[in-house]
Amino acid sequence: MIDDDQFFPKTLEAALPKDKYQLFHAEDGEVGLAKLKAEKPDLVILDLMMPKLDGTAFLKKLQESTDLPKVPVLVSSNLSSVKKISDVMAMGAVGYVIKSDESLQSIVQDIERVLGEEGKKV
Amino acid sequence: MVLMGAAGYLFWKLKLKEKEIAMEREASTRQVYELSILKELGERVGYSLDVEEILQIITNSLHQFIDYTAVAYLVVKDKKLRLGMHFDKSAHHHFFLEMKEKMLASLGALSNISYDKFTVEEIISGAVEMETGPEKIGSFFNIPLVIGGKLTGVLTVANDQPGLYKEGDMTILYKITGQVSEAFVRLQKVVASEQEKIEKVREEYTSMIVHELRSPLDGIRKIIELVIGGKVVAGSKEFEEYINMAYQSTSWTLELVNDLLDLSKLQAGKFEIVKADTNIKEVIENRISFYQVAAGAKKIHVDFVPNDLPTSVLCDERAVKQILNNFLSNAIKFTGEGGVISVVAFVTGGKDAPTSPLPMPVGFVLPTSADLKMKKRSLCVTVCDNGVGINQDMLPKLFQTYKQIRLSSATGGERGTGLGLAIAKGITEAHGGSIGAVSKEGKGSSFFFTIPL
Repeated sequence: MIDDDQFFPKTLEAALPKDKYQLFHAEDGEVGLAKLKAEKPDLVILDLMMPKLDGTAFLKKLQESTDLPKVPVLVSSNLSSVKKISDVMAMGAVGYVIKSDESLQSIVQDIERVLGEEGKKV
Repeated sequence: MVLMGAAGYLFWKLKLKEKEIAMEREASTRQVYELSILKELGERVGYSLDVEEILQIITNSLHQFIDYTAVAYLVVKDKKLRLGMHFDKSAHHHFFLEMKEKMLASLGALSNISYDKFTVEEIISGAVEMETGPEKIGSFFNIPLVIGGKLTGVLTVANDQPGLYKEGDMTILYKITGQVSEAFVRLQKVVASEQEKIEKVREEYTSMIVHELRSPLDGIRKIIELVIGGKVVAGSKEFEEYINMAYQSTSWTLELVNDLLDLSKLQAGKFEIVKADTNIKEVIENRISFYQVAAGAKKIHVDFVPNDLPTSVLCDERAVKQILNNFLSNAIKFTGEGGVISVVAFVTGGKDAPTSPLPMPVGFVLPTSADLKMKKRSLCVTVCDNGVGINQDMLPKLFQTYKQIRLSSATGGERGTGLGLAIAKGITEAHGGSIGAVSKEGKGSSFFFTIPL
């Protein structure tokens, strides 16, 4: 999870089944890029408004890069403008979660769904 | 005969030359006129976006190069027609009616719209004489007024004498309206793009606020969701951690909501300033002692230098405390461990203002008398620190509302709404004073406000 919020990663981690998932947290896009290379996760949950490298810039880097692992990105943000959502979806995100519109449980379901679909592709 | 013929030819040639010269002269006179008219119009039209106003300027300038009985414009404005007619010579009411009729017909034919049902508001000026004078139009011409590719109205020049107007007269008016229309469209574009920019900043600001309000509230809700769902058990170490997070989020949201409310009150001019005699020295001491704990945690030394302060100052104590809270908390936030903060208060300015330097402490980046912008005798309070300082580009933006709301984590974990300085500015201005800051990166900053006595 790449998110500058201190609480969201903690609460989501508590909500995820511990036997199935391991959550790494990066507080901005730059740290996120480093952890993406180091940890090779199955899914990135990406916030948009962050200091240093924000979510949109992170997606762009991921799109343009040839050496970064191709990982599905689920965007989770409190930004709810239609334009923002369509912009990041066009940049290759597999889903968009408006944090405050969803419960932890429904976000967990979204994660399971995305990982399930991605699993089928492989 | 041959000789005669040659002389005749020469005479004819000469006449032709004369005619050419006369025409050239006329043409150059016209050009000079045109240029001067266009220049004058350019200056007078200036930055108006009112079509009618521009037309009035054109019609009032025409007499300089076209002889006419009356000149008029007809424009469509909010489903109504506005007819402005200026008489250079007096004419009969029938002359006016005929001209109006011709103009309506012309506008109708040009736009393919029937204007029969439209009300026409008339403005008539100049040598108005409706009972006598010429009754019939001898010669006239219409110029369509097209702005941004859209027919906006017609301009008409009329004379009681027949056979007067030539192509040249029409060309000039064409050129003038063409140039004015271009200038108008250019100005419209500039205005539209400026409005777009403002709109964009406003949108960004709103989405930022929405984001910053949602995040902590949503955090609290998700914590509660965990507790309700039994994922976190009451009394456990985790539970304590989550409750602390919820408390922090609640405090932060409350602070932001308070700041936003203050700011919207200030912007609506409804922030109430209740002035009363206030012991300013005590107020400052009170605020410093309030922040001693936070300063102590970073081993920052805070001192206070009062300089001949009056026993009472007429101000809103609560509001002044709010400014001091903001200055002091910022100073502590942006000063490293073991730093120094100095609060200075003095009275200066006015008739008996000393020319001596301001009673400021040494070792800080300090404002000058010019920075304080005092028009009369005022109380000046300055909070100086030897902290990280502020980038010169950022300095002027600090007090602007739309620039200031920022990511709560952008300051490296230091939370603050970033609206405090905009609020402090509003409060100071409500007192008739000024506010500002001086800073050097790596050296420190001084924030000051003044209150006229």
